[in-house]
Amino acid sequence: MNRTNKDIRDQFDFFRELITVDKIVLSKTIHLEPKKSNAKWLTGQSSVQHETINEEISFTVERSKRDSKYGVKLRCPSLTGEPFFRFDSDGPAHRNDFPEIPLEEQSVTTPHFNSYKEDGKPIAYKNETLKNEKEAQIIAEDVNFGVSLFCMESNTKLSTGDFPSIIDKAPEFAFTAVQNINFDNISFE
Amino acid sequence: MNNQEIIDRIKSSFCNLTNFKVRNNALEVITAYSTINSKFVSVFITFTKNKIVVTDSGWIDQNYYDTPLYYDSEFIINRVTNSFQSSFNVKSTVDKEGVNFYYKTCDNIEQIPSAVFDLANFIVGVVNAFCIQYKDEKEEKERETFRRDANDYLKANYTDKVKLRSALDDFQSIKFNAIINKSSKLYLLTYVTGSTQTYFENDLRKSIVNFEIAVKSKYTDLIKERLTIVNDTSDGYLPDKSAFIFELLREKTTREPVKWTEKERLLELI
Repeated sequence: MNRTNKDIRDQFDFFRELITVDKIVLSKTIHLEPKKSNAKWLTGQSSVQHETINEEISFTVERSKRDSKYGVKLRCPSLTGEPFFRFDSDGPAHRNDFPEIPLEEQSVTTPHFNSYKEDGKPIAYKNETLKNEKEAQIIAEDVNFGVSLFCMESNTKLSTGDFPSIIDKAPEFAFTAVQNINFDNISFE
Repeated sequence: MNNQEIIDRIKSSFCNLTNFKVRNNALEVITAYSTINSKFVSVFITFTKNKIVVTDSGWIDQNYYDTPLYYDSEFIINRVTNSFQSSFNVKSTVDKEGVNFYYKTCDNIEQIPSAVFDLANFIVGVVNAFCIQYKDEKEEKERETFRRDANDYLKANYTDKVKLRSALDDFQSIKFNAIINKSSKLYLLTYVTGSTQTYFENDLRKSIVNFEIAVKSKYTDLIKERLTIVNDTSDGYLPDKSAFIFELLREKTTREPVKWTEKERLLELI
């Protein structure tokens, strides 16, 4: 399966500029509301103003109602349909399938960032904070910590220099509580 | 070359690739098995109601493996899933929110590695099945474009006299691309196109069979012409290679196949 993102490969300088140059998230707070296409998820969005690029950019936070999994994404539809930078708090480990990386180092567990290499191939990585297991766990369990980390990593912030805060508009449960699947409620034969 | 060094390297690499996450409700095994969309498969071991359960924790059903969504592939994915389920003896259950969990149970700790191995193999197979695009997109697109162009051409020239994707009353299951009813005479038309020789010849064979059946219809005396429009701009149009099938087609049609680049000929025939 060829997972190369050709849009990013062909406009890599633009992609690099998107990531490295400062960006301002326009909404101070992002309210999570039920996702239309998937009832088990909440989603919230803000527009982003880029210092040097005028194209439309969006900042999206999605959170599962079932467990504490959430994701943060930056999109620029005029570059490519997929998010150009992503954070996954949970879910499967990504394989950095490059021959120069020893096999045992090819697995990048969550939480991790997802970006692209110059040839358009997706790559997952952990920054110094995520490499620390204890800190990684705290971040994986709190969407506001994750959003702050994501913003620092992607050179994104509010005009005040702070980071946007995520608010659940209609909380069905204590928002910061870690949600876990209760296996006792599932019938296994 | 030192065999032992290679053996040790492979063994330790494979072994070190397996990771673990201790969760509140389960032990997650991040296995050494990866999918074609570059995800390592995780399985979850939990002890519930006096049973050891190894499960995917609903990750397949919730698309945590981030597989693309291709329409019309549900049937084949269900077949693949069912085959793998029976091969690896994997069971499934649905929680109260409707999420499907695939799982295996173990009687004792000794059985866990084998269950993890089976379930991981199962997940790899199913996730990979989701990643594949079964339909030939180029073919579908070309076929659709040609069909639309030919339909438009007929509608422009024969307006309400043309019926698209139509059948003779006594053979409802045999559809022609178009039937033109002009001055109480019927003109049956089929289209032949294809991005490869195989696809093209499949269309030829379909036309042959359809015309073969048409002459057995009670309306056969009303049928003035049996015509085929061939897309001579498609990559599958290789008249020399498909000569034999073209010959068979000529036996069933009333005229030489009408090439799309010479479509004006139709106006002389109808």
